[in-house]
Amino acid sequence: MSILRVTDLDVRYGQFRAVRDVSFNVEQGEILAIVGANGAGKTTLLRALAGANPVKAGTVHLSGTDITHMPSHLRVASGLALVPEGRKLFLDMTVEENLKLGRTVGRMGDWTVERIFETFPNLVKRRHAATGTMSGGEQQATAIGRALMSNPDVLILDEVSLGLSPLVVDQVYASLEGLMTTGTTIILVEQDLSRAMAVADRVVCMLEGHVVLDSPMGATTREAITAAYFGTAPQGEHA
Amino acid sequence: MTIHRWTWQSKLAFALATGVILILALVPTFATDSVIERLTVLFIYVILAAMWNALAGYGGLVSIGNQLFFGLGAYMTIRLADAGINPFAAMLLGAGIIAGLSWVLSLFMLHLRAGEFAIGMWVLASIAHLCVNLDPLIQGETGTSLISLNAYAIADRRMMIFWAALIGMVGLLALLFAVLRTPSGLAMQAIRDNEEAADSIGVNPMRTKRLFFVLAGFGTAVAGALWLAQVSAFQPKTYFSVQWTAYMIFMVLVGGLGRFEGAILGALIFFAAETWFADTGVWYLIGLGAAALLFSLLLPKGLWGWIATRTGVSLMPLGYRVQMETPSK
Amino acid sequence: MTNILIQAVLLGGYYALIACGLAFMFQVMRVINLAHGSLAVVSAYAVWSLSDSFDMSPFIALLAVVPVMGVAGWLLQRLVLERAVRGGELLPVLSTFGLAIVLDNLLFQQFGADTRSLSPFVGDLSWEAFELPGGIYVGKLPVYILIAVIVIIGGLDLLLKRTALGRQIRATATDPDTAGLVGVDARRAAGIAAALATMTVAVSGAALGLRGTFDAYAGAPQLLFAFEATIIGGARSLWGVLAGAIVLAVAQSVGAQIHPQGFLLGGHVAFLIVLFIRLALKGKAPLRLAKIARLTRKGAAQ
Repeated sequence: MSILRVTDLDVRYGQFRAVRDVSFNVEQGEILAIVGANGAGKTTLLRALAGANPVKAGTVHLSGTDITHMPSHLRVASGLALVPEGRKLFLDMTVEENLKLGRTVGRMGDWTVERIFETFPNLVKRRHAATGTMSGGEQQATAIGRALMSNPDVLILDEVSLGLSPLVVDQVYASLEGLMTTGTTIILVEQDLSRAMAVADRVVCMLEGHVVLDSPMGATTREAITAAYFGTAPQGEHA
Repeated sequence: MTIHRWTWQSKLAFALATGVILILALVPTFATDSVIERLTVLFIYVILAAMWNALAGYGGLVSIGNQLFFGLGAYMTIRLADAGINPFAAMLLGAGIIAGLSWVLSLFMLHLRAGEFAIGMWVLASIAHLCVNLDPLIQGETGTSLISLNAYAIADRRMMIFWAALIGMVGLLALLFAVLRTPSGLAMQAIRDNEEAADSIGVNPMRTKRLFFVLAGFGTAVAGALWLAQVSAFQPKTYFSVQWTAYMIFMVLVGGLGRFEGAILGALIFFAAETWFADTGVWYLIGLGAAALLFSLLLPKGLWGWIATRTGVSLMPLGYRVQMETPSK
Repeated sequence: MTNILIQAVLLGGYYALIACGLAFMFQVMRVINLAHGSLAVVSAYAVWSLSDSFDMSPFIALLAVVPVMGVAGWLLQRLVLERAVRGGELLPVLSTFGLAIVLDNLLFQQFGADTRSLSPFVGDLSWEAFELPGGIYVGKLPVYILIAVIVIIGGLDLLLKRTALGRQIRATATDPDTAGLVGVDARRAAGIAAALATMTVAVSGAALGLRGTFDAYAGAPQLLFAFEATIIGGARSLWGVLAGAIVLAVAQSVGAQIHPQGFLLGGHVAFLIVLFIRLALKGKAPLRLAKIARLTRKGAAQ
């Protein structure tokens, strides 16, 4: 059984349908990349999965449980954690305080504050610094660490490379490498197609709220993804 | 596609309103004394509601201290009348002075955020109350009265106060209406929704807020002066009581925050409630407070807002309506 | 002079007690609760009723009233404030004001116009004093109140900074949406914060009754004192509220020295001055003060 099942999801902002009839499944341990232009509905979709945006129609199942209308903090307790777009750290709290917050739900697992610092060594010297004073890369590391502290089964990363220099993004992905081998299911939204193709097992491409491509990475090509991205592909490419 | 400001309903309402005003002007010639007095009170309530609504509904500035202007308007009238000025002139002049004071106050009060502004105005009202108490003419809480008004015979006095109140109400409503139709007025309705957005289209939020703050100050001061003329007695505690704000809030919340028609509707409802329930003592006040609480939570747009959203009716041509031409086959 | 200052500091302790609940709720929920003063008076009447009916010490009665008020705060948050805050910044002001009117008048309906006091129930404590060197007498009760407020503010401060619950409350205050995404039950955190605030209000209500008298409409002046103390202290930290409260009390005492009616005015004037200075420093008042502040900062930076 897929660990995450999304069926005919419809998410709206007022009258505007940001996510339309989106369906896909994610298997345990899979790394899924969601790509698409700005405004395609990626962040809205992720926030709906995490419980921050209300769902108009459709369902979301996590490990068989229907979480469609569950409030966000209960989804974290069920094992689904989101690293939000723009980091959204609590800026007047320190790194350690932000991390400890991630522990609120008290799920069992391997992630502890110390282990986060081992995974992201650049944070060690900033342990007691207010996160508002840190660089983008450090903030991103903290945000990821905060989500990991809840020991999620499914980790969702929304544009971790946003606003970061390529070198820093390399570092962030290097740190994530270890994570990606532990068997945690990961969904990531990534603008940089090369990076997405390098790390992901499967790719879903969104355009204007619809899913226009859903394929294992091996079964598709860069050209096909690009075509779907810009909407020049023949409709309905599913594998 | 055509754009127009007047609908047939608003034209009709305008005609009706003009008719009503003319009839009201003639009321003193045929109505009983108590009717004249009660209508005067109603006019004052309409002014209070419209002015508080101008500030809160259009300007987004919720003030718990409009009794500041109410009390000062009455106080100024007493002071000017004491200096020998004709009482009716004193009322207008006094309100004008208070308008100037509001302008000065706006220079710093308008920089406060919502909650701070609300109570800040209340603090100002307390300060005014305390200062007025210090004036030997007022004799502290004992108060005094608008003695010079006694120069007029009671029947004449009643009629003149009625007309003063009617003119005051119509004048202030017309002024408010005119302001709301100007670009600044539309801006104010825009600011209510989003200050940053208004700023970005070149609308100056501070200037428009100031305009409404001064207008509300002036209008509420007029109401205070009229109330003084009506009851003649001035005790600071009564005029500077926060109860006046409670009345204003009730009228505007129930009638419709940010709706021109709403303030008038709210005043009518309040007037009716007061006429029927005022002798139940504190239960009346408890009812007012509870109504304000419930309306703010459940029906924040008030009764008129509810009606307008349901039916799309707008009696006052304050916005623009876009009408799509239906293609003819 | 020293005596006046000491009395002012003790009065400031009382103001801080009533203010810290208001400030706490403002920090956490971004809401100024206009029913704050009325809730204090409700607590005062509750303590009075228990003391009167069961002939018990107000301190014992308070032990029962505090948790009840805590529940009331929780309900206030869930039933009123949660909804009101969704409607924007204006609505909570209107809702809490309506609530204040309801509470004040219900109290009047129930208890009438007579003023009450808790002093009769504590016997000698209401006038007993410590003797300090220099022949200065400080009332025991005001000292206890000052100690209480220091303990309460210290406790709340520690709670916010050192505990998991405190972090949850701070996170909810900063960004309730993201707090949920991290696993914090924002509604629960806000409810607990409101409960904590109203529990301090309960204590301040008892203090009000012990220090002097109260009646059904005493809530409004208490609200204004709490508000002024909070603003003077700068609504950032709870210790700032204590400082602001003392400044308010000192200003009132100074005002009383200048003119027999000057007590309240002194406090109001101090409030306005602080407000003015703060706005001028932000460059928002049309005064040269803003320019001076900018130049001073530039000069300091060189």
